This record gives sequence, C-alpha cells and structure tokens, in this order.
Amino acid sequence: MNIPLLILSFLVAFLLSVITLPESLMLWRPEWAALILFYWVLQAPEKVGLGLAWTVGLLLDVLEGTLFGLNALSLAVVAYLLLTMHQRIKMFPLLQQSLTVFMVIGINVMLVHWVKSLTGYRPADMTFLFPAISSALIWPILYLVMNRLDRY
Amino acid sequence: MLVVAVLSLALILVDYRFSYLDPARRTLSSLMTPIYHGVDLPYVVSRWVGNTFVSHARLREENEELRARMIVLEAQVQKMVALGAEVSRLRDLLNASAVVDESVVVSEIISVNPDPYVHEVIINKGYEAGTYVGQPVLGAQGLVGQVVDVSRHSSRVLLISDSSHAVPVQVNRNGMRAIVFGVGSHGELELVNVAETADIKVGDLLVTSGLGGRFPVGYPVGTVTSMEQEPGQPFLRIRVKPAAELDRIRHVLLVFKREPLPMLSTGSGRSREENGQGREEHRQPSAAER
Repeated sequence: MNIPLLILSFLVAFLLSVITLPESLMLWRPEWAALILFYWVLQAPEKVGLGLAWTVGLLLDVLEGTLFGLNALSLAVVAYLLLTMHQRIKMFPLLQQSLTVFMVIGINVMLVHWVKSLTGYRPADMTFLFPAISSALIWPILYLVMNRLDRY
Repeated sequence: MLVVAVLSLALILVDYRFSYLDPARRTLSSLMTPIYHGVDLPYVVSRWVGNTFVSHARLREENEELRARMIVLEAQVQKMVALGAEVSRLRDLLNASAVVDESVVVSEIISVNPDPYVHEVIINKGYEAGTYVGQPVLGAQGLVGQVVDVSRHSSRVLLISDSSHAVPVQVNRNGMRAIVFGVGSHGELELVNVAETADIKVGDLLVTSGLGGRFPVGYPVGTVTSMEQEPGQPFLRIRVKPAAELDRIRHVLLVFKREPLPMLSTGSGRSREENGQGREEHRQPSAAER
C-alpha cells in the first residue's frame, strides 16, 4: 500500500468536495471522499478499514459544516459494506464495479439525506441521489488513474 | 461496525442538541482551513496575474475613476456627518437612546458550503481577528448574514437567504415591524405574518430593526417585489429581493458593536433604561440616505 499516495488522494478528495461549482452542477458533485475510500478498501482491505473511514468522515464533517459524526457514520458504513464483499467486487469488470459504486454510495448519500432531513430543510425529491450517479460514472476513470499512479 | 455506528450516532446527537463538541470542532476546523485556501487558490492566482500584468494606462484610468468616486463619496459623507449629528440631537430631545456606532472589519469570502440546500459561505477571518458566533455580516449593499461557526483563521457565515434564517426588519417608510425569512434561494426572501390591512407596498425598503439584539439597526435587507393575497390565507404572501447580491459578493464587512460615543451618551444614560421600549419605535432617518 502506497501511504503517500493515500494521504495525497484524500487531500485532493477534500479539495474537490468543497471546491466552488456553478449552482447547476452542485447537485451532481460526486462523493469524492467515498470514491477514494472505495479504491483503497479494494486495494488493501486488510489495512484500510473502519478506523480510517471514520476519521476521514469526521474531517469531512468539519470541512462541510455538517453535524459532527454524520459523514463519519456514512463513510464507516461504506467501508463496512465493502469489507464484507471486497473479494467479489475485485473480480467484477469495471462496469459492474460502477454499479456497485452506485449502490454503495447511494446508501451513503441516503443516510446523510435522512439525518439532514431530520435536522433541517431538505426538498422531498430524489435529487439527493444525483451524487451516486455521477460517482458511478466517474468510477472507471478514477480507478484507472489511481491504479496508474499506484504503480510508481 | 456496531461500535463505530453507535459512536457516530452519539456524536450526531450531542452535536445537534448541545455544544460540548465545539472545542474539538474548532480545533479540527482550524486544521482544515488550508483546504479552503487551496480551493480559493485559482482565484488568488488569476487575480495576482491580472494585477501584475495590467497596463500602466489602464491603472491610471482606474486610479482617476476611483478618485472621482472618492470625491463624490466624501461629499456624501460630509452631509451624513451633519445629518448624524442632527439625528442624535433630535433623539436626545426625544429622550431616546443614542445611536450606537459600529466598527467594521473587511473580510473575504474564500469558499461556499458544498451543500446546494445550505446557504453558507466561509470567510477568511477567524477568532484571531475577533470574530464571534452571532456576529452580523454586511455587504456593500446590505445585510448578508451572521457568523455561525468560528475557527482560528476562518468562519462560517449563514446567509439571510438560508431557509433556517430569519431577520427582524422594519419598513423604512413607516417603521412597521415584520420578520424576513430565507427560502433557500439567493434572489428571494419572504416577509411573513403580515396582515392584509398592513401598510406595505411593492417597492418598500426593509431595513433591520435591531429588535432581535443581533443585527444593528438601519441596514437595508431588501425591497418588496410582489404581494399576493391567497384566498383562505390569513396573511399576505410577500416576496422580497435581498439588497445584497448574495450569490456574487466577494468582500463582506464584519460588524463589531462599539459603545455609544461619549458625546451622545451624556444625559441619555438613565433615559436609555427608561425608554428602552421606545427605542425601536422611531424610524431611523439616516437609513433613508443609505
């Protein structure tokens, strides 16, 4: 496992998750931190686990100004789900992996959406699922790029 | 997994209901501030490039423009000083409290909240610069919002357009009080609980009333753009256009409350307690000039 790349990739993910976007694109912002976590759990399931996911989630909470522990919970759930099925996912072709990304990140954003609805205003439509779609679409590219970087 | 889930849920609950976690949050938040600056970097670089490679002629032109503008503004300030003195004399005669003078610090918006349903921006001044939670934030044209979270070198500002935000205001024309709510859209606010018979018109300027004790008196909040009477509803549906351009401002002013000027507070020290009620009743003549 490439530790410097791991740290760097999460830092870039943090940057991308708060970077200013036009209002129309904001709904479609992929869940970068969850995607990077996805990659690392698949690469090193024996080392990357709930602890890292939870810590990254807490930092993301502070960064996004959400309730303390919300992203921590949802990312820990992502890590847990992946850990239970990483052996199968690794065998999947990229397109099928994308589908898994959609399901797992869908669960992630749904959890966040529930808690945010309980504590504040959320529109009652399905727009909260858009990040899951954009994450699934970007997954193959991200996987190839990360894989390439990982070899150095 | 179970342990982590329970721990997270406990954190969420504690953070929602209490403020025990604020120090931890503040420390972590200070650590993460460089990320916001990283996000802002392209803008900073492009501005630096623009400033460095600008032509001499363009600079001279701009300088002249600014000079001309400064003279006009200075002339207006002179008038304002005279008016301000007159207002405080008149208020003294009425035994009303003195007008509190505020000092401001300029700050820059470095990032916005990534959640499209939360209207929050991050500014580059933190508690090192004296920022505190609840501090009012102004733009050049009007009220922008208030500080909700402070870390070392940055703070979060909740905009008045957020759906969880409300501002006590008064109609500048006649002093009628009401409350403006955000509706989650940058270009629109809503004036609520105003009866059909109330004296309010399209085009009325709404200014802060200072009644909540949070915002200073007399800053423009917005203008009434439309009024609708829906059958069966006891109140009017009034839409307000915010005075500040909430989605495109770059610089904001943090307002620090200052003690009343000594000249103004002499003699009105006791009457202020007695006439605390009457204070908000008088409209602010100076606000009309702003």
